[in-house]
Amino acid sequence: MDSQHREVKIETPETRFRGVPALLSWCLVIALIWGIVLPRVAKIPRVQARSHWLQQQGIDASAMFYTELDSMGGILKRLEGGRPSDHRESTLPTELNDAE
Amino acid sequence: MESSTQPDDPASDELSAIDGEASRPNRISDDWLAIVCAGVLLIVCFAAVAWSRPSELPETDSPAAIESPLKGWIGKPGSWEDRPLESLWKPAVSLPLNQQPITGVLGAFASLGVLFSFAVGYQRGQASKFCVGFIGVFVLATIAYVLAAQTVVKDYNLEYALWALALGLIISNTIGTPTWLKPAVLTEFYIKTGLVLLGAEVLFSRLLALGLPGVFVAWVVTPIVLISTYVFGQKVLRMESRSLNMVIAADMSVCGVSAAIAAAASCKAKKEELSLAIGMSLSFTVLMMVVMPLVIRAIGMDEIIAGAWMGGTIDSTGAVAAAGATVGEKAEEVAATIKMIQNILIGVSAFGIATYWVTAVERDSDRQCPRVSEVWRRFPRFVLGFLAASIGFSLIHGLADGGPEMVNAMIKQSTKGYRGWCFCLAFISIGLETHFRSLLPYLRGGKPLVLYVCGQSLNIILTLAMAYLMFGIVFRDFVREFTG
Repeated sequence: MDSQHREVKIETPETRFRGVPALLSWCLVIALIWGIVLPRVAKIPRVQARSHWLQQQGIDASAMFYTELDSMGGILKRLEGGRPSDHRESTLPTELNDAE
Repeated sequence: MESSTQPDDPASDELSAIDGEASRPNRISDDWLAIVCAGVLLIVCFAAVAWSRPSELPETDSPAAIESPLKGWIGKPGSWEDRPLESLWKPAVSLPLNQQPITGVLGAFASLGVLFSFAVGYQRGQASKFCVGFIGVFVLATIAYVLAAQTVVKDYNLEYALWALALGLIISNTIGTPTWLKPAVLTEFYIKTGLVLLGAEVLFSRLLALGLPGVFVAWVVTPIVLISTYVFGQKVLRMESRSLNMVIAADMSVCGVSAAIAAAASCKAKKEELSLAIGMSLSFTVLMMVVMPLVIRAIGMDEIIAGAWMGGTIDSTGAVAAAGATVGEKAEEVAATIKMIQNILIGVSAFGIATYWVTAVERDSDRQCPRVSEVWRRFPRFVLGFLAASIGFSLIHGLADGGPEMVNAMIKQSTKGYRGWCFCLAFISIGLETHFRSLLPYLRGGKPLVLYVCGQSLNIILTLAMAYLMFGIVFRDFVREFTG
């Protein structure tokens, strides 16, 4: 990639000091969102049910590549001839079904 | 920076450029250094598995038949719900030390720190400065991983790349990137090392996991969409940046963030372009992950066709599996497998894009066809490392006795972790090198957004047509039998 496009910021103690309040504000925003808001959202029954269900299924919804997906091992094993071997509960949890 | 910069090219000397020190030629280019570092990691990780392999493989299908001795010693922060520190240390359960996330984090830090310090020391002779900077960059990468591991964030596919980028941007745009961090801000080196490691996960032996219909959906539609989107961006939207056009096309048509990283490195895109493409991809992935299953259920689409459709269109692998599982077991199975087959396309697309770039985009205007030597000089070497890793481990996986077990253990218990850290360090570095102002020109006129929406619309229509044709008509009985 093109690193010649880089902007090299000229820094002095004054410019750096000016940015400290802004940095602290961002830190506060992050602390509030991850420390208070998201934990509360995670406790909402529907969100919690979805999270547990994904965990049960071995699905990491943030997986970037198929090797990061725990459920892929079972899928490949079944496709490569081991079926029918899977008896896991694959339907949506009741809370999610009701909601949808 | 040109990926193919030669050791004597001053443009490749990132440390000198950043620090403003006297330019000293690098002894080895970033591409070769990345290949060597990734090669060392792959050899060590595979040797560890091969060394610990039992002489007689058990007859069982148990995944624990072969285990890497590195298991637990290379890892990332785990998921957490309301206490961030649980991401690193699980206090409620008495786990052995090598099962605590902190052990894996420290193991990755120590091994990557030592390897990269030697590498940078050899290349630029500034190992001690790199070490100090690496501690800071690695701490930021750990924080990004912890932010991404919160259950709500994780379940909606907001990957670590986004938070790594955001953390870097916050620092560089408030107090500015501290001078002591800069020697370890090596975006390209981390990205290329991560890509060569990723090559070992691209196993061609898995290409036919879903038979011919899978290949048609993943390997026929995807290149058509990629090329059409690129041509649309150039001819209709007249996008100023070809590389941005290509990164968005690859990111949207192949498999999201990982494809965007490979495409950006292959076509020498700017860091801002990669950031923009990934931001758009993650936003649309969340949307599609929620909306597509709702549409599929509303119209009562067949599970298998639905799985093929989602697998071919939703960018990110995790989101594909989550959306597929929402529809049903068969949908998840087909969707995840289609996405896996698309994942394998990364190597071919990276090679194709790099070849197209050096032969068509970067060629001298006065010469119709560049000489082979010219192509070789410009060709990004890390792509060769990527392909070599992919072919090598595909052969071991397909042909060696106990190959699948050994390769799976190596990937899952060590190299996957290293690859993740390399990409996370790269996104922290991109953020630390980017100013908000430099992102604005790309947002003006909204062309990238229009390109993404038009390309994704074509992808949705073509994939649905191909999924219906292959899974619903041509190979209907075969697929029903195959998927049970």
